[in-house]
Amino acid sequence: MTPEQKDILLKLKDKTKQGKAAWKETSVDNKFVLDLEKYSISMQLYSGTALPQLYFEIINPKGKRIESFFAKQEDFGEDDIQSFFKLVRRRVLRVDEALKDILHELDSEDVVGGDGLTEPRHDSINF
Amino acid sequence: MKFDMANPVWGFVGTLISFLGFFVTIVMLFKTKKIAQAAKDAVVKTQNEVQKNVLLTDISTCIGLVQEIKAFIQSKRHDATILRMEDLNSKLIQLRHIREFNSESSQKEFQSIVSQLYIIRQNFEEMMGEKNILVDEEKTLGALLRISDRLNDWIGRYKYEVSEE
Repeated sequence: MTPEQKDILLKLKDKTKQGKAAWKETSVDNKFVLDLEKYSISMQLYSGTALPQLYFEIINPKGKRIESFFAKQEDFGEDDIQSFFKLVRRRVLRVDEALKDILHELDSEDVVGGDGLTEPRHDSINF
Repeated sequence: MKFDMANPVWGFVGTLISFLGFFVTIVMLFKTKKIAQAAKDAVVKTQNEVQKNVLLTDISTCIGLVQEIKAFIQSKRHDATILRMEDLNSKLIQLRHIREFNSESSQKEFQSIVSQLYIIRQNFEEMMGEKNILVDEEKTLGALLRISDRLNDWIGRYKYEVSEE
């Protein structure tokens, strides 16, 4: 990894942790993209190997990859590489928002589930 | 009255005619300038409308290409999918330089489309190279749908602007 790549990686990490990087979902699982004004940076998790790695690609305005590099745990400092990826995933898929909504619905006194048209059965189910 | 150059009345009349001539010249000059400006404005307006029509046609072509790509994906014609994606990419590169897309937000919108297309294309290329890589068809079609939605937004935006003028 070159010093510039490492610099980009650390700045990306900081911006993401501060919630100031709008990563987006892509058509590929475990791959997210960050669109800047002229360039995009894609990030994919490779977890199949013994040590998980993040694969970064820089895409130019013409839709061509101009640079790519792998980031290993040692390039990442004290943060865990997989936790970082999970953080991005949670933000992109709005997981926390979804969990909050689910909890809010479950906490209410109303009947949950169903289609709102058919009456739910009131007899209790013994486990 | 006899014409006598020494008569001051004739001098006065001459001066008056000169002033009148000068005034008429000034008025005519302004009128000509106004007409020239109006003609120039009309040319610029027509030019803009033609440019916008070309722009709308080009965006429509891009939407057509996205539809074709979707059809090729659904019929598993991966080589045709890649070719059409390259066509779409080229068209977008050309569009990106149009004056209407100069703003930072438009450039970001472009970059977002270009990056999503790159990822889809790369996924198909990898799949054709290695048989064990799979393309998530549903996610890919979803990404393409978002691209065509954005292109349709652009059509709406520019069509509206043309009819407003």
